Amino acid sequence: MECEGRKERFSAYLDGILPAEERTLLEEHLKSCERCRESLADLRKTMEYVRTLEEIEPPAWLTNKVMARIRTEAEPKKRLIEWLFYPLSVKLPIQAVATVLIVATALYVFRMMEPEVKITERITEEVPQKILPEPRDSATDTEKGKTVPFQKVSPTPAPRQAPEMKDAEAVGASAAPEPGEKAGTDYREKTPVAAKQEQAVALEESIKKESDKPQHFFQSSGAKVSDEKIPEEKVVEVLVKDIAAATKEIEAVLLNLNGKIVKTEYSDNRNVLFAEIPSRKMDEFLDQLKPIGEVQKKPEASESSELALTIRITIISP
Amino acid sequence: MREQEQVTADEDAALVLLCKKGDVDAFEALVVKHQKMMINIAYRMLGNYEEACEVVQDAFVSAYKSIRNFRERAKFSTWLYTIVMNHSRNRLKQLKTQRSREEFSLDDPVAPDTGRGKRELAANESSALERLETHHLRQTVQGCIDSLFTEFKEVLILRDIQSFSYGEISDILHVPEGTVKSRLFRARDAVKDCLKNILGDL
Repeated sequence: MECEGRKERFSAYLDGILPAEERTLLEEHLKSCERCRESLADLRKTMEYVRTLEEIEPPAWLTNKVMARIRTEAEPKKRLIEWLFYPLSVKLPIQAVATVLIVATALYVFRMMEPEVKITERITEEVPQKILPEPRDSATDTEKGKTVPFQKVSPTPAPRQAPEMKDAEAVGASAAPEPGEKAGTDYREKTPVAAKQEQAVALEESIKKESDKPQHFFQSSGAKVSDEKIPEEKVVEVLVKDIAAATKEIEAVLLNLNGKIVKTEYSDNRNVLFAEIPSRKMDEFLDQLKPIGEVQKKPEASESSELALTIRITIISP
Repeated sequence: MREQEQVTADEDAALVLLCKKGDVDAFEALVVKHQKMMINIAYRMLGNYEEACEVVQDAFVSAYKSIRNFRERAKFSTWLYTIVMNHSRNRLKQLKTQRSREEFSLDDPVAPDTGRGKRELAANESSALERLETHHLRQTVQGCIDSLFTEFKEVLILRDIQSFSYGEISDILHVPEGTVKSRLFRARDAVKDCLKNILGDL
């Protein structure tokens, strides 16, 4: 019994960690107890046997295999885990950016599309406005051109031979310049709107393409006037007694000056001619107009060049 | 070996820091350095070289995965040996379950099997070392270690084979030193009885 209690100390004794006092007591006991001496010897031998166990070497491939697993197995998993667990920090910003891009694209497309529709609807109104703005100095001219001719065109289809009809309206039309000053301010107020629409270059292109009138107009202007270069339109207004006759005379003059008649618009109290002539012939043209009628409005002299000038000649009777 | 470990602890800290920053090559250096100790621990725990290789690989991989959680309070080697010890323990549990399912498995590595025949041989000889070649003796000792309960096996391997101090063993196994001491005695005593059973006199 005594010995069984001491055996537990043998292990610590052999490791040399038994406190000095206990060690002395144990050594004393061992001198007198053979069983304990044997027991201790067996334990010591056991430990020796255990220590004879050889050290083993790792296989040569171990490092490579471990590293291969770490490179292929551990790393992608880590990345996958990051993707799974950082959706808020990584995915949200990406989604936010994507959303903003989609909204921006949608707005851009909307802005591209919507005005196009509007302009085709209002084209009779808008076209003169768009094309005329260049000669700003004669705002009233522009205004007059804008308000009267085109609006009148569509309702009444060209009674070519009715110059005397509806005198009152004709007077009203010629009187239009009077409130024109006022309307001119209106026009200026409208320009910011037009300017806004002009912001998109493509928009302007689309206006031209959508509206029939300018399209023919530009197509016929030939190679000299490219799509990029929008020719200035000169506005001429002639007051004549006989619109039909005067129109024919003016057409003849234009053709004489190597001009080209692009389009004609006839209405009951006015005819509008769209024509192109070489800009150096402009002065000559204006001179030849004088015998035909009273030139009420004419453009300021521009530098003469080989470029074709676009003129709009409005022929009205008093 | 133990002293060498202590001396190189600081070197490990530098490599560990690199690992935490994602340097795989630094981890490779740690693998090269510690693989021998790892395989020896695992081999003595499992008594099977192939199993030990698997366990060491698993232990290194899981060490790499959790190296960010390693705090420098402990030595890296201690932390690493804890991991290989845990993996060995789990593997033992698995193997035990497998064995109990296949009760009459031929490759049952339990010690008494290897010993029984030898005990008969032992009768007429005088010394254990003379009776058995060193190789056979080692097999017997390993067999006895294999037959120990895991908790006793662990301390015996760490103390008598790997020569860790009581304190280090306490750190690796997360048990108090007193427990290490008492388990160690029981382990040694059990191995002693096992060897006596097989070899007769020691």
